[in-house]
Amino acid sequence: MRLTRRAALLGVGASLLPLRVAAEDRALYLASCRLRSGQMAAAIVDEAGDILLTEPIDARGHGGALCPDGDHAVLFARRPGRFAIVFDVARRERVCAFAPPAGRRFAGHGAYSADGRLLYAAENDFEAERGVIGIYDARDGYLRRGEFDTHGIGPHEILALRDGNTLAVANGGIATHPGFARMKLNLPTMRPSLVLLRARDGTLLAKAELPSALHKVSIRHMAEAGAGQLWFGAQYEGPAEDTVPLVGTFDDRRGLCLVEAPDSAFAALNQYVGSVAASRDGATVVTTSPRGSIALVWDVATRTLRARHALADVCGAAPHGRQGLLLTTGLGNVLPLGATGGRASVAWDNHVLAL
Amino acid sequence: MRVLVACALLVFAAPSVAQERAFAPAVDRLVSEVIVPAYEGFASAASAQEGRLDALCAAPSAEALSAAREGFGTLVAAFAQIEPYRFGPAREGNRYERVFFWPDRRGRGLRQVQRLLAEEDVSATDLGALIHKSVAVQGLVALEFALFGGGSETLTDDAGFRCAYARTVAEALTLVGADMAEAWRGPFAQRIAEAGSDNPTYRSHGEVLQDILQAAATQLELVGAQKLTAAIGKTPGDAKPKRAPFWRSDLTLPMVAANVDAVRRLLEGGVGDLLEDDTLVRSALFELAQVDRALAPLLESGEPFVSLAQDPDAHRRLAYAAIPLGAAQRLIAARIQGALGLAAGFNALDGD
Repeated sequence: MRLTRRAALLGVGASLLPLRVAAEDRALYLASCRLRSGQMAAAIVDEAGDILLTEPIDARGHGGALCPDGDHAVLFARRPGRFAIVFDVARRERVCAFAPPAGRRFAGHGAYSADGRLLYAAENDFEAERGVIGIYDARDGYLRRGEFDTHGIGPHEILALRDGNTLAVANGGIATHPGFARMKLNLPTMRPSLVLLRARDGTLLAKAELPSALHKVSIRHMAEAGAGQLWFGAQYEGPAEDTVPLVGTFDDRRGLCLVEAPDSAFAALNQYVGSVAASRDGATVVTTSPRGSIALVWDVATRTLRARHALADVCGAAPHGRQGLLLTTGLGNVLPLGATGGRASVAWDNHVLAL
Repeated sequence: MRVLVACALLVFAAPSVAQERAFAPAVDRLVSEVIVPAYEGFASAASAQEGRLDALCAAPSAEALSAAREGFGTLVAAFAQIEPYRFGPAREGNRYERVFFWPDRRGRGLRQVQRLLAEEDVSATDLGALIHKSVAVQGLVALEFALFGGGSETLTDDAGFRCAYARTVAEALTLVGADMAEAWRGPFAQRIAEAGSDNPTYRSHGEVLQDILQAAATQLELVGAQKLTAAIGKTPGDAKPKRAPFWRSDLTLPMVAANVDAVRRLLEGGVGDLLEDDTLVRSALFELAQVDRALAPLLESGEPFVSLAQDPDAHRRLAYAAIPLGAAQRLIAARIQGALGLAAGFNALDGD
């Protein structure tokens, strides 16, 4: 068994843990935020909303990734992103920063390989309108070692799956270009997909698309839940009058399919899911919508909606403890689902990463 | 779970009930007095353009071509008045891109139009068939190429395929324009009027107002960043004027001026009445007037945009215009919406 702070929380193998890990008695998170002064920053915050570190950054940040050994974590710039910053979790300090090469921009998300040697970053080859995964050497100053094709346009979140061999990519399907700010350049012809790649060499293992009638459902965020299911959240680029399911799953048996829930639940998302997270036990998934100011909680085993929580400008979501989840909001709240949380004087950005 | 709900109530930034009630008449006025007339203006300009092209195709002449080219300017100016409203009826069936496929960064749309003209694809002269083709060959950008692009000079004496295609594009624009105007007058206006907790699109009139103001702010940002700054570059030497829309017909700056006018009409159409102190709205209008003042001599000069962008004096004016555009954009996006209690959440602004 891998030794993590998670294990410590569960009271397993505590005596074998390094000092700093055993000493950590609270759950920590990494997220990007806007300080009261307007300055953008990366922050390490605990489950009660107490901020332990703020590191100013040049532009708005987005998603992050935790190295499997728990020592390092990376935070990506918001797309079209030009920087990623690596933090030493225990020391609560910035270690280094790196940038994508010319002709590439970070898409805001990434994932470490199972052995922690490589960092995979979702990127856009914007001139060719092609998604790629940049491969960075975490043991050698994050030098770029190469790239894989994502077999789609506009990759957003990527996950390194628990099997240790597979990368999952949400190709949102929307073409953008840094020369055209945040304009969407191909809505009439967009074709989002969810793709599985062999982590070792980038071989395409599976590519799933929704039916063509749903080609404007941009698959963007994912979490690996139990029962071999990847859960995803989407944003809809069609008319606001449509009520389209924006939450779905991908697994070997069913392939890609949308989850059923009352129309009112999907309508409440306001055509937008900003973040998806699964509890560590894999039994619960949460999808958040800052546009709808709502979090939907899903039961993985039955694929049904379990609860809805109204929460202004909610977006960040991450696992908390073994069964729980934690939410953050643009108003500063840090809230474990079903528990009392704190409120910092910062605006939390779209994503929060459990450390 | 009770705690969560309690927190949500405490922090919810929804406009107060009193304010919400005041939004309904203002929204109604903006829709019926600004937005619907703008759509009707576009639909009738497209229909008039169809008439001019009928005349050109029936009796080609230099006069008929120049009337069609002038009419195209009227049509683009009318479109610039509806360009901000990318939500609602414009999002249905790719209507927005059908009318205005821009930016065409890789020139794919242009190549499709050129191929269609070279091959004289007769199905493109049939409205029913044209509307099932790529969105890039049925809108304003395609019509511009037909009327102003390479080979358009033949239109003075040849009423062949090119003219029939241009006429069919105008017909398609009339159809989409009429559909959007009808939706804004009918079902969409109804949906807006019935904003409320059971309404799947708008839970309050505040949300409608937020969409309208956000559309105005986004349009100003797009005009400043894409139509001007990206096209003129940092110096006259690195100007790329052909990145701007409608440089062929030299309608780039008239379109910018009409976009600014569209935002002005919204601000003057009742937004100020919602605020106890209308200083913010007056400041935004002042910034828009600065844009007009910067561009006026260039519009009057009659010089093509492509040469203005590379001329040092004109370049300075164009670069300057982006500054008040940005100021007006920030006033609308942050301060006016904030004063109305409509400030969008940190995470809710756009997709990611």
